[in-house]
Amino acid sequence: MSLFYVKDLKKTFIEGDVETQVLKGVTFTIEKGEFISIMGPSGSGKSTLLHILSSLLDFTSGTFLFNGVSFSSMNDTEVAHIRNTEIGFVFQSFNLLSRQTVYENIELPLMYSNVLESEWRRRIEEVVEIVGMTHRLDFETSKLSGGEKQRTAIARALVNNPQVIFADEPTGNLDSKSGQAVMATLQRLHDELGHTVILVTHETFTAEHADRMIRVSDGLVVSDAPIVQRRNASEYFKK
Amino acid sequence: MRFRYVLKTALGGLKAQKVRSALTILGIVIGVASIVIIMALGEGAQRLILDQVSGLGAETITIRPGEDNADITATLYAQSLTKDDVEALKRKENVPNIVSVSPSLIVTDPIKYRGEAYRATIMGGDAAFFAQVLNIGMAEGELYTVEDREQKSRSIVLGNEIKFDIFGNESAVGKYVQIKGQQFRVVGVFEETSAVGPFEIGQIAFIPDTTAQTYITGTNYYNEVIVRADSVQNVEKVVYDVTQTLRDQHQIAFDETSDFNVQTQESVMERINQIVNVFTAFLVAVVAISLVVGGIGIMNIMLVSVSERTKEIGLRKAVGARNKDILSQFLVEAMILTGMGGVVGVILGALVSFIAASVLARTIAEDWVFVFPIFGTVLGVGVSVIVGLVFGMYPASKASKKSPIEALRYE
Repeated sequence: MSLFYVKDLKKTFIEGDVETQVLKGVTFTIEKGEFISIMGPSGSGKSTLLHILSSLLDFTSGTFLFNGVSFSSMNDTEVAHIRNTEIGFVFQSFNLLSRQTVYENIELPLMYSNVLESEWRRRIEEVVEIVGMTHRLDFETSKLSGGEKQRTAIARALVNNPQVIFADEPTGNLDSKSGQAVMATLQRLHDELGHTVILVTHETFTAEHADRMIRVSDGLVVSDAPIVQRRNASEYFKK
Repeated sequence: MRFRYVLKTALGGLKAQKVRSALTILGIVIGVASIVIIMALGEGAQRLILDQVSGLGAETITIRPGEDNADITATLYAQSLTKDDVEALKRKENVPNIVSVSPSLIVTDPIKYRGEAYRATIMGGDAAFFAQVLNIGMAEGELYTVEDREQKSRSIVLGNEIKFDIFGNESAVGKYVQIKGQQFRVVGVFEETSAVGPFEIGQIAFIPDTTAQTYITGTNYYNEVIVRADSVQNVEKVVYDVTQTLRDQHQIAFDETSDFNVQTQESVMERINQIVNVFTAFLVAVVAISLVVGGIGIMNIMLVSVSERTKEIGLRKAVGARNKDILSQFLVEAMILTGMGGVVGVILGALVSFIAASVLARTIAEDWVFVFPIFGTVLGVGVSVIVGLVFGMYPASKASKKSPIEALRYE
């Protein structure tokens, strides 16, 4: 059973009398443990696709199953539980609570989980070590650099040890060095910790850090192929 | 999400906007403080009046003309309590458990002195009984005696204020004033008192009831008869005997209502309690409107807060918050706001009431005591939390229904 099963998926946005079909019938599957990049130009429908895959958005027609189950058949509590335990998000604009510390931001998904409170600190320390933010644990996130913010967001995405990490243009607001550091972290999550990573980007360079690239254009998948020569982000630092 | 975290999250949200939170609760603070002040002063007044009334003694029974004791016109003008009635009440075979009968009437004429008229409350009755009940001593002279009453003596005892109005700082005893053309010799002046009675005590003047009936009103009616039972246990029996005696005297048939009313201290206190409680409840209800206004303010600010924190709502949903987690977060925030307003309001109200009670004790009535209104406190805090629940529901519900992706995209 595929982790994601997508067949003839369509999404139409309706605003007043205007209907905009953003996804026009998308089909693919994603297996557990893959590192996928969904790439396409602005307005191609890649972000809409990611939002549907991550349960944040409903689709109009077609079939979409996560672990063999449709989100449409679940109630709010069940979907919230999946988001909390199976899915981690990394956003382009970080979406951190600016007046709270790194620790408090990473703690957020734990508040909605069934993880015992006595476990929280250990888990948080573990994930900040993975992203290299141990020294900033008690800093207010408003005082962090862009790269540090994104690494905090990755730590937050990891804290409940989800199967899938969704990264929506994670390097979009970062300089190249910070961007590479974030990509190195995502590669490590996939390569060493076995997370499925689904990355959305409009940059070929960033997309080539994945193992497989799904190209989306004008609401359709125009290519879906493995990346033969994957870019290694950690090489950047060796240089 | 456990309630602890809901609370922590809600407090975090409020802490982020300290000044706004403080200003938002101002309406609730004022509303609750007003409730506490009204209830504290209401209870203080109630206690003061009841202390005064109970000072008459539990064995005291008051008989007034008219069916309804609340009808002051009936008390003043009804002619159902006569000298014969008083004589009948004094007879042991009619009311065996009685120790004293003290009739009184009100004289509406002014006191005149050297051509000047002075408006006082002139009572025809037993000045000694009055002084004893309200525990008032004499500033000068003495009270007229039982013999004076029997002999219809034209003696008068003045309250300290009316004495000052007429004679200034001069001694009044031995001087003569006029009431309805009759000369009255001042035999005594009451000392200044903080006691509270049905009339302003400083402005009262007492003449014997017999004298008032004979020389002034020319009638044999009374406005009030106070009798005393020999014990508290016999009060009910005395009420029965008094009622039967007067009904016989007035030849009232079995199915007719009495043309007089008999009040025990207990029933008077019950009545006062009832009146003060109704009055307090009315004022509290009026003040409660300010709580509703405060609640609308809370709703308004919560809507702003929900709008400002749309991205945060989206984020929380993205990391696993259920609709009800978001609902409870904003609802608890509103309830903390109003609850805090309630607590601050209670403290402020209690402080103001305490100061007001001290001022009242120094100026109007020295027996006025500060009463902390426990019920008012529970009511104030309880109502304010409910206000938070009611007025926080709409913004919280709006927040919980936000689509996570639209919330995350919100700018």
